[in-house]
Amino acid sequence: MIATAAFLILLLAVTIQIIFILKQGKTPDPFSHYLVLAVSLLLFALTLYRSIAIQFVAVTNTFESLVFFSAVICLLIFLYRLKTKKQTVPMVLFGGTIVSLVLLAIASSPIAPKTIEPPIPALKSSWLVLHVTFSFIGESFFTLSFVSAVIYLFTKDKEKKKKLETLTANLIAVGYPVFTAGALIFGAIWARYAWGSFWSWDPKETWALVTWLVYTAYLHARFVRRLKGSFSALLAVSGFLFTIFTFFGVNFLLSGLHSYA
Amino acid sequence: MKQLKLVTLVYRFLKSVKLALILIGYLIVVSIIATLIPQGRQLSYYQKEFSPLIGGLIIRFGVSTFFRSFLFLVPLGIFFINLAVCTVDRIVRRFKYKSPLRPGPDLIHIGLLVLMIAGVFSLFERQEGFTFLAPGNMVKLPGGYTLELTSFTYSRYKDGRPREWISKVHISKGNSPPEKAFIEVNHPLRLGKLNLFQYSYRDRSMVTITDSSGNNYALHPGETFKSEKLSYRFLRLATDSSGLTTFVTEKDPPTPAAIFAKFQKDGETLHLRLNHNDTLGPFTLTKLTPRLETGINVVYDPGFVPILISLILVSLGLLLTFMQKRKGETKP
Ligand code: HEM
Repeated sequence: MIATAAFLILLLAVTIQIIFILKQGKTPDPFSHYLVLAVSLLLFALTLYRSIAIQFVAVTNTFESLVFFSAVICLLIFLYRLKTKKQTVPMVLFGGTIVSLVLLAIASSPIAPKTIEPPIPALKSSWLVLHVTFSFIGESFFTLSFVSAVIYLFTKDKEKKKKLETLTANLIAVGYPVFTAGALIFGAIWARYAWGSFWSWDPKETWALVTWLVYTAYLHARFVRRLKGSFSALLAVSGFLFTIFTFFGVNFLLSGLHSYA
Repeated sequence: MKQLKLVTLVYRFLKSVKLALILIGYLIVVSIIATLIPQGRQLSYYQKEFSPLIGGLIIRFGVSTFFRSFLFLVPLGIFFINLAVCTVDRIVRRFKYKSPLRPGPDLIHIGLLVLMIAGVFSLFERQEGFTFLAPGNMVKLPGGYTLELTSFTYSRYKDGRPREWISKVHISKGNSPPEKAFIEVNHPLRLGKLNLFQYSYRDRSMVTITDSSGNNYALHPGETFKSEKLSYRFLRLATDSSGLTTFVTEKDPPTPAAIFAKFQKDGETLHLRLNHNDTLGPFTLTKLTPRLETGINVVYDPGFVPILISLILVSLGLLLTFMQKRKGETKP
């Protein structure tokens, strides 16, 4: 119910954004980000509701992860809009909202069962909660960096390109430490408590490491070697594709410790 | 003179970020390939599942245990040297030219170097042992400890998913009186240098069924038998009313019931809950012997503390890098 309402509000936000972009495209619309904020709050409320029901932080299955992920992306979109005001690139808002919409659509599909279930023993750990939440917060920054890198690649206007390049770099510079802490450090500590070893080269772990290496390569290319062109933008784009594959692809195509079926 | 130039060139190569980027690219590609090839199977598996050429290559280059093969470890070794040279060079230079301090990335790099050393150390020094224990069983552990399982609880949610596995134990050392302790998933028990993990379980319960001539047959969980053209499978012993939610063995267990699956002719499966002396076709249930065993993994890993320290260094480095960057942030 709540997820459907969130989806519909987001759809309305996207419609407003499209109308404004088609109309003139230079300045952002004055309203849609409040709808996006409302969606974020609704999704956090849903997480809270489910958490009370299972007496544990509700981030332990695919549906709950997607809800949390979308909630954080929506919050970031709102904060970006608030911080940049007239400097906002409307296409970034639009792209981010679309990604959120797609994630919510996947959440409402049958591949993400919605039954409210308390977690199995391996998942009952504060380290797991830190692992999942930090990973998704980091990945939300990566999502927006992906959007801005894609727009960068398709933009001709030099001024706008510069703005997008800086935005991509800043988003990754913030997302990277959060993601590293969540996906790798807290993940390893959780694995140590649950299974007795920090790392076991499970496919999901390996893909998370690969994702992290792609962003590490981005940071060194961008901040150390000062490569600011398409190469860095392509790294930012591929980093996000790896992020998404680590989340979905590994669960559905490769098996390992992390598929709790 | 020429020799000196070569040394300089090699040094420059080893400290270059370009080499780092190439090695990272390599590690990304091969790690991905390694996730597409199932790891750790028997060699015959690769001969059977892949074409002769690919199967042969997998075996030859040790791809079946890829993360221990030279294809992975040698480039990782070069990466380690690359990172070490680059880090030391930066620190030395900073002191030489008194350039502004940027300790964040250095801490990250040093943390990663420590992590790689600690990881290899752990790989060689780590020892582990695994044991199944039933209530009343005892095992001697290194360090002079004796572990006795006093009870093991396995409970499920109503939908059948596992809820918790808890091993209650008594620990004693030398002549000291035994102390009570618990081992649970996500809550390992620390004993000196050892860590004990709740790792697994196995159901070794047994039911005995007796036919009209007095012949006894013993069944373990999962075993099937046929009678009058119908087949039955003994699933488990259960101590709660639904027969599906809880299974507890204590030293003195409550009277359990036996859960059987009955496979009907129409393909349907019926679940039966039988008590002592109940009948099943021509058989009578004469004995129910509960025995649920806990699987405990005992780990000695001297790499644990160094790895934890390296993770803390990396975290601090990330935090410092982030804080410094924020100060000089360029607004989009
Ligand atoms: C997996 C391995 C590595 C990780 C995770 C890593 C991580 C980082 C991070 C997070 C930064 C800060 C970037 C920023 O400004 O946001 C950094 C900077 C840097 N890294 Fe690495 N690094 C790695 C390997 C290497 C290697 C092998 C080299 C050298 C060949 C290297 C050379 C540098 C340099 C020169 C800087 C710039 C420092 C500065 O701006 O003061 N890194 N590294």
